[in-house]
Amino acid sequence: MGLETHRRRVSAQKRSSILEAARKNFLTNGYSGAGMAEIARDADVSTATLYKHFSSKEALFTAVVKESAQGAGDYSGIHDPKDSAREALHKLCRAYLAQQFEEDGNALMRIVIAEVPGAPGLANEMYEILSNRRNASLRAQIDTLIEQGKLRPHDSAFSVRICTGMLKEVFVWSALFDAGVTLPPDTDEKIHAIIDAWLKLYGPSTAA
Amino acid sequence: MGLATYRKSVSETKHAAILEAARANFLRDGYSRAAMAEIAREADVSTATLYKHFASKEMLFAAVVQEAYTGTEATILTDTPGKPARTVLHNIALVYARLQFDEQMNDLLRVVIAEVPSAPHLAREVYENGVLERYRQLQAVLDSLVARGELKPHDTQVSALYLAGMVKEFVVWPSLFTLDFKRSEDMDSKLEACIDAYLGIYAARPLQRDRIQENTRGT
Repeated sequence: MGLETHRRRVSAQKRSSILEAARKNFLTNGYSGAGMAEIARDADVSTATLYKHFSSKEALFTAVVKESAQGAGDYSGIHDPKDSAREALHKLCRAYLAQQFEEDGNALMRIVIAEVPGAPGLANEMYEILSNRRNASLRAQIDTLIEQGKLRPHDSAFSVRICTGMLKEVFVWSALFDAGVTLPPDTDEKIHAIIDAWLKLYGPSTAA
Repeated sequence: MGLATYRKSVSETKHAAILEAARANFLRDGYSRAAMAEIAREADVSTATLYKHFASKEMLFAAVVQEAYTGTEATILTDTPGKPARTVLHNIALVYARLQFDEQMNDLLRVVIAEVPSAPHLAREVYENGVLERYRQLQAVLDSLVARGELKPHDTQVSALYLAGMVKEFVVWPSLFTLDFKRSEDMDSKLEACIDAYLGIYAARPLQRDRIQENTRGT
C-alpha cells in the first residue's frame, strides 16, 4: 500500500470516529452543551485534527445529521417491482420509522428544534434534509407506483405529505415530548390502517 | 366594592401580569435561562408575590402552557349543528393555524421540546394535558359529525390523529424548524386540501368524493 493510500485511509478512519463521537456527544448533551474538545478526546484525535476535518461545531453537527439522513433521503430500491401498492407503502413507512426510532432521528430532531433560536440556519438545513429531501425521494417512489398503474394518477407532492403527516402524528409526535417513546408492538397494524385510509384517496379505482 | 373583592381583583390582575411576563420571558430565553426575579420585575410584582402565585419556575411554566392550551380561543374545538362537515372542520383548522402562528404556540412548543433532556416530566405533562386534551376535543367534534350523519361511522379516535397529522404537516412541522416561519400564501388552500382529503376518506356522502378527486388530482 502506497503512502498516499495509507494517509487517506487513516484520515477516513479518523473522520468516522469523529462523527461517531460527535453523534454520541450531541445526543447526550444537546447542541449547545456539546464541546469540541470533548468530542476530540472521545474520538481519540487532537483538536487540531478535529478542526481540520470540521471547521466548526455547526459544520460537525450538520455532518452528523447528514450522515444519519443519508439512508433516510433515499427510498429507492426499498420496494420490489412485484410488490403491490400496499406492500410497497408498508416498506416505505417502515423505513421511515426505522430512521426515526432506530437511527436516532427523533433525538436529532429534538436537538435541532431546541437550537432554532440560537442556530436558525442549522435548523433550516436540517429541515431541508429531514423533511424536504426525504419527501422528494418518497414522492419519486409514489410516482413509480402511479406509472405502474398501482395507484391512481394524482398530485404526489401533496399525497406524500398527507402520508408522512399521518405517520408522524401516530408515531413521532409523542416521541418529540418524551425520549423514552419507542415503536408500539402493534406498529404494523397501525401502519396498515394509515395505508388503508391513504389508499381510499389514491388507490387504484377498483379498490375504492 | 368590598375589601375582599378588591383584594381578589388585584390578585387576579397580578396573576395575569405574571403569566404574560412569564410567557414573554420563556419565549425569549427558553425555560432554563428564564429567571423568576426577571419575570417578577417585568410583571411589576415582588418576587414574594410571584412565589405566592407560583411556587416554582416549573409550576409557572406549566401554567403558561396550560393557559395557551385552554385559553378562550383554544376552546373553539366544537361542532356547529346545521353546518356541513367541511365548514366545521375548515373553521377549526383556521383557528388552529391562528393559535399556532399568531399566539406563538409553535414557539412555545419549541421551548417545551428543548427541555426534554433536562426536564423530561415537564414535556410529558404538556403532552398529556395539552396534546392529548386537544385530541379528545377533536374526537368529540368528529363524533358529533358522525352522529349528525355528516361522517361515516368509524374509529374517530384514530381519524382525529390523521386529521391532526395532515394539518400539522403544513402548519406545525415546518415552523418547528424555522424561526419566525410565516404562513405561506397558499396555507389556506393547503388546509382546505387537508380537510378534503379527510372527507374523501370519512365523509358520509360519496357526492363529495368526486370533488376531492378533482382537487387532489392536481394538474
